[in-house]
Amino acid sequence: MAAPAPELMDDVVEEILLRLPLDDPSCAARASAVCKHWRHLLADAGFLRRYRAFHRRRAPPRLGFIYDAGSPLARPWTAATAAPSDSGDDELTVWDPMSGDVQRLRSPADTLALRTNIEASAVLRAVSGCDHGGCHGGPFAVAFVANYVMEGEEEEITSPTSAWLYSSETGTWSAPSTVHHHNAEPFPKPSVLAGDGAVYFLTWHGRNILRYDLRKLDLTVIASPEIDDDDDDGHIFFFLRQRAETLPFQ
Amino acid sequence: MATGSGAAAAAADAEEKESGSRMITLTSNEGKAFVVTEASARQSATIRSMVDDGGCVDKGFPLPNVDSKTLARVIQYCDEHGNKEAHTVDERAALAKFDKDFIAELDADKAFLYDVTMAANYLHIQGLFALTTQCIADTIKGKTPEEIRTAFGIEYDLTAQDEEEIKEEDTHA
Repeated sequence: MAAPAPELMDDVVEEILLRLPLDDPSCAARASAVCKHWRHLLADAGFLRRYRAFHRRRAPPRLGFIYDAGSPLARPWTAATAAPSDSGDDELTVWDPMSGDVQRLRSPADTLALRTNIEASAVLRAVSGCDHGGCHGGPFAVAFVANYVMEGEEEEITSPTSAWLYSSETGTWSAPSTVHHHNAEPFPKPSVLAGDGAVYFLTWHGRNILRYDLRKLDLTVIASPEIDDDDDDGHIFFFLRQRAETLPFQ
Repeated sequence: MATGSGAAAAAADAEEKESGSRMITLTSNEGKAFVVTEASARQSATIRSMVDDGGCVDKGFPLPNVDSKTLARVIQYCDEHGNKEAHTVDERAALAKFDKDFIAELDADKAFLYDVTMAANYLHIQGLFALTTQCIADTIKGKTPEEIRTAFGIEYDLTAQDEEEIKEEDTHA
C-alpha cells in the first residue's frame, strides 16, 4: 500500500482531525504526538473552536472529564464530574482536557465545615450568547451535591442532602438547597444534564433520583416506584431526551 | 432532479426542462472523457458553480488533479446521489446502504481512499468528503502515534521539547 504524499494530505488533514471522536480524548492526545503539523493544528484555537462546533451539532454540551487520581482512566460524561483532588476531600479539581487548564475549588461542604458522608458533582459549561468554543478556561459552573452529618445527630436520623452551584465568573457558591429524605445520598456516578435546565444525580445504588434545578437552584428527590426493598441491586434509570436546550445560567 | 434548495433549485429545474437532461463531460488528467448527467455533476460544488456561471458546458471540464481511476469512482458516488431521489425513507435507506458499501470497499485500499478524498476536496463534493474523512478519522482511533505515522507516511519531526511536553501530558492523562 503506497503512502500518500504528506503535502497532499495537509489539505484535508484538518478535516480528518476534526472528525476524531470527542468521547475519546486519548485519541486526540495520540494524534497530537504524531508530528509538528498535527501537533500545532490540534492546539490551535481556531481548530479547537471548529472541533467543538463540529461535535456540538452531534453531541450534548460537555466541558470536562472525570479525573480520578487513582485511575488512569479519563472518562467523559454528559455532565462531567469534578473529582476530589489529590490533596483530600476538601477540594475539587476541574480539568479541561482540551486546554489543559486545571482549577481547584474549595468544596462548599468544607467551607461550611460539614462532615460529608458522600458527595457527587457535575461540571457544566456556562453558555448563553458566547459558545465559549475557543476560549480556553472559559466560564463554567459546578453543581455539587453532598449528604452530610449534622453536628450532634445520631447516625439513624435522616441526614440532610444539599446542593450548591458554583460559578467560575463570580468565584462563589450559591446558597444550599437542602432535602431531608431517607434515601437521598448521592451516588458518586456520572450525572446527567438534561434539556430542562437541571442536573440529575442518582442516589445511593441508584434507588432514587436527585434533581437540581439550575434556574431555581432547587434540589428535589424524585422517588422511584416502590419495588421490593430486599432487592439491593439498585434500579436502572433511563433519561429520555426530548429537546436540546442551552443552559439557563450565565 | 437538480440538487439545491429554494429558488436555486427551481431555477435549475426550469433550466433542466428547457435544455432537456443535459450531459456534461469531465476529463481526467489522463485525457479520458467521462460523460455524466448534469444532476450527477452538480454533486460537485466546483462544477456546479462553473455551470451556473454559464461556463463551458459544451466543451466539458478538464480535471487536471484527478486521474481516471479516481474520477470513475467519484462519478459512481455522484451518479448515485445525483440521479436518485432521496425523499422517502426507503430511498434514503438505499442511499445510506450505498454509502456504507461504497466506503467499506474504499477502506480496503487506503491509498485509493486518500486519492478519492483529495478529489472530493478538490471538487467540493461535500457528502463524499464527509464520508471519506470520517472513515480516515475512524482508522486513527485505535492507533499509536507511530502507527499513525506509518499509515499516513508522516515523518517524525518532533523536537526534544515536544517530546518533553508529550511525556508531561501522558502523566496527566
